[in-house]
Amino acid sequence: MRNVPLIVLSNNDGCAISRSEEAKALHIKMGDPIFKIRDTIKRHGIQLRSSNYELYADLNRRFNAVIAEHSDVVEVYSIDESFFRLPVLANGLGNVRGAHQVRSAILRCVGLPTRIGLGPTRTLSKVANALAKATEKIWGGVVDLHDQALRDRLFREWPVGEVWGVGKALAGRLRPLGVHTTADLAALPPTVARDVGTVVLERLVRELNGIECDDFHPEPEALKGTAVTRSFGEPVTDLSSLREAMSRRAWRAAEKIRAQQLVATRMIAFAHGSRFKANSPSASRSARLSPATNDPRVIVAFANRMAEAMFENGRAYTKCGVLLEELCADGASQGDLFAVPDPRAPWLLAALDGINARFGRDTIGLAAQGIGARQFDTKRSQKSPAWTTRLAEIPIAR
Amino acid sequence: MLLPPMQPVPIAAVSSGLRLRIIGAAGAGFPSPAQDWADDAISLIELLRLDRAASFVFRISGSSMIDAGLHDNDVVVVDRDVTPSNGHIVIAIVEGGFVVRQLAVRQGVPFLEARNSRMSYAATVADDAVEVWGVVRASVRDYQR
Repeated sequence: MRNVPLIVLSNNDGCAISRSEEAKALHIKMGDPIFKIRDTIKRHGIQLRSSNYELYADLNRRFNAVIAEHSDVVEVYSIDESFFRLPVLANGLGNVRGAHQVRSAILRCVGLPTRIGLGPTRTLSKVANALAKATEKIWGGVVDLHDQALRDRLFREWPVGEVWGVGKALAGRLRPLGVHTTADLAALPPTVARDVGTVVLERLVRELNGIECDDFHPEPEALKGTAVTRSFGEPVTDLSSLREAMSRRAWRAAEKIRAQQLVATRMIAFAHGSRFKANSPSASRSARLSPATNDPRVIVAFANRMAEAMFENGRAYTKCGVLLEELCADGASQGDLFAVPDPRAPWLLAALDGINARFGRDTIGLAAQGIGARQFDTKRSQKSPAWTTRLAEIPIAR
Repeated sequence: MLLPPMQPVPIAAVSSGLRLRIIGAAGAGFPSPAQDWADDAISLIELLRLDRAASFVFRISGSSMIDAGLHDNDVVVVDRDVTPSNGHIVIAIVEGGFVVRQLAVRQGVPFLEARNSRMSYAATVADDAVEVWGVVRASVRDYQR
């Protein structure tokens, strides 16, 4: 697949969500619906692949494990970006050689090409990272922005719209103020920045000047709420499918909060039809969970009842989801005076989670979820194998 | 609360990686004098260093390396954090596919060679068109397959 134009598709294989450099060169845009670019795909032999989240998650785990060998803190920012600490050198500059070592260790161990931006604040590291990408052929994928003089020089050339957190809309509001480059933005008085774009922009300006504003968060913050929402592969028009789909989302949501030892106090379920059609159905229901729980038997039963209450005959639904909110630590929540706790529940849930951890997700579940693949499941027809996480899909060498 | 009676688990039903741990306190008789020394089962993950970021798993197909002890269907652990050198068994990408071969340096030229005296395989020069993907560190064979 190297040097080949390649597009990764969104859930349901609908749109382009990631493009190789070769595909970008063919003017494929982020979010392009596949049916609109069929001709281009055919003409240039562009390869299509469905999202392979199992593989991405495993490579991301490996990527962070390598970084952790070089740094005492690693903050996972997204599926392909992390912040980490690399102590500055005695002269106050970034450890460029150390960064190159991390970069080559990631390439050697995991096979992922990366770029590293060094800076005294996260905003500056992000800008440095973008510069590292733009100057990869000259500087080999590492840029250090600890030096004020270098910042001054580079920021004059760097458009403000390329800065982390400055979107198109904000760049448009900055233009009348004469702010076109990153240097202009860094020179903006903090109070003016706040007037144009709230306290977030003020913080960003400070960070561009090397003053760290956000505390480093090596530990991910505890979840405040969780949502499991998915579009259907095919529209759903019957109640039993909607119930099964809702039950699957509910099961997964309960599983997610159990993994963090949290319980939910409030639950919301929704279902709606296509946004592109007039008079589409749209409904939601909410319920208070008392006592707070992460038990799928309770949460899935609610999801079922809510699906029933929402469903209207003769309508087509394209998406549904379950949200669990007002989460708190398991054991720290208030009990319910009238509820009789099930003493065996913790054991049962631990057994369910243990079975699914060992034998794969959805090995065991509730009957309400239905069994096997359904027409409403997400379509991932062009998925590459889970090379690194499933024994049945590991690569073969001859 | 009563626990269901414990059933012996047939060996064949124990999947790889499953750790069995017998807790002495569950028995009703004299407490086991060994319970304070209970240890986890031996971990193949640890033995094969599968938890390292650079460890990947491949399956061998065919008999190109049979004389080196790699059989059809063997599962191998491949380490990317090793610089390939003379004598290493490696996974390489040749003409877009993965192959398993031995790296042999002859008069300064690296070759990828099969190890099967009964069949003839073309040796490949490990030039720029060939990528050595990783070094085979261990193999696992299921004798029942």
